[in-house]
Amino acid sequence: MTSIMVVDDEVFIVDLYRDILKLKGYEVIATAYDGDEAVQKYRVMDRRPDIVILDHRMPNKDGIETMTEILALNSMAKILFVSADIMIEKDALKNGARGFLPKPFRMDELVEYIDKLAKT
Amino acid sequence: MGDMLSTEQRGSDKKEQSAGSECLFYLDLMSHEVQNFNQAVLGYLELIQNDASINEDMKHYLITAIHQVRNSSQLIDDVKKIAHLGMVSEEMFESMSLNSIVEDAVSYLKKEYPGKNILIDTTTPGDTIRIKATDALTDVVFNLLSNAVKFDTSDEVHIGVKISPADGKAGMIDLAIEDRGPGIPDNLKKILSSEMPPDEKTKTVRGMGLLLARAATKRFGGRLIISDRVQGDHTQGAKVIIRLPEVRSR
Repeated sequence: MTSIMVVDDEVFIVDLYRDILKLKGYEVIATAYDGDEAVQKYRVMDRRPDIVILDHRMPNKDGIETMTEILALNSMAKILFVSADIMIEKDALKNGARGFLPKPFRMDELVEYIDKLAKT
Repeated sequence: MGDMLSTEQRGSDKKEQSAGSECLFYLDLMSHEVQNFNQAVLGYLELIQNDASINEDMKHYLITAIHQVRNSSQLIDDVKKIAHLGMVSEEMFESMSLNSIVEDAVSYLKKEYPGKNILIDTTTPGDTIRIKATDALTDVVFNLLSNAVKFDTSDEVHIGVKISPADGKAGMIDLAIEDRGPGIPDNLKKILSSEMPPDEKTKTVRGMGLLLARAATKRFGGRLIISDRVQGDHTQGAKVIIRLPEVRSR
C-alpha cells in the first residue's frame, strides 16, 4: 500500500486528503500543518512515506523551502507539489518536485499522479 | 522646471506601480484562499458522486454543482492571469516556438477530454515560428482549444489550427483557431476585437478566456481578431486569430 505524508496549512484540506486517500486505498502515515513541522517530522520518521503531498503557501516555511530541506534529508523523496499558486509550478519542478497539481484538482487526477509517482 | 516635472512624474509612476503591486497582492491572496475553498467543495462533491446509492436526479444536481465550482475556479485563474500580465515587463518575455505551444496545447487537450472524439486539423509551416511571450500564451491557446471542445455538443469535435504569415502585415504571424461550436455573437465579437482598453461594455462579456486572450495578445505586441468560421453566420462556429510579431533570427 502506497504511504503518503500530507503537508498543508489548511486543516480542512488535510482532512479532505485523508478522506479521499483512505477511500482510494492509500495510507496517510503523517500530516503536517506548516513547513517546519513537516521537516521536523520527516527527519525523525522511522518509516518515511513513499510520497509527500506538499502545499506551497504556508506559514514559517513555504513549499519550496520545505521541499529543499526534505530533499537534503532524502534526495530520493518523491514530492508532489499541490498548490493554488499556479505561478509557482516552474519553480517547484526546477527545485525537485516530481509533479505539480494545481488546486482545485479532480480526485482522479490526484490518484493518477500518486500511482504514477509510486511506480517510478 | 523640466527636471522637477520629471521627478514628479517618476514619483507618480512609482506610486502607481506600488498601488498595482498591492492590488495584485490582495488578488493573489484572495484567489489562493478561494481556490482552497473550491478544492474542499469539489473534493467532497466528488466523494458523494462516487456513492453508488445516490439516484440519477441527485447525480445530475451534483454534476451541475461540480461544473459551477469548476467555472468559478477557471474565472479566478483567468482574472489572475490578466492582472499579472499588466505587471509583466518586456524583459520577462522569452523567445518561444509557436509550433511547440500548439503541439503542447493539443496534447494537453486530448488528456483533458479523454471521452471526447476530437479531430484537430493542424497546418503549420515547415519552419519553426518564434514569437516573444510568456507562459500565459500557452494558457491562452489551451483555453481557446478547450472552449472549442467544451461548447461543441456534437459527437465529433472538429477544430482547425493554422499558423501562417498575416495577410498584408509584414513581420506578423497569425495563429488561427476555427471551431464548429455555437459561435460568438456579433456584438461580442466587436467588443473583443476592439483595440480599446476594457470599459463598461466589456464588463458584460461572458467568457473571461477570450478577454484573457485579448489582454495577452495585446501585451505581447499583437491583437486578437474574432470572426465567424462561415462569414455572416456566427452559429456555425468561430474563428479566433492571435496575431503576434514574429521573431526573426539574424
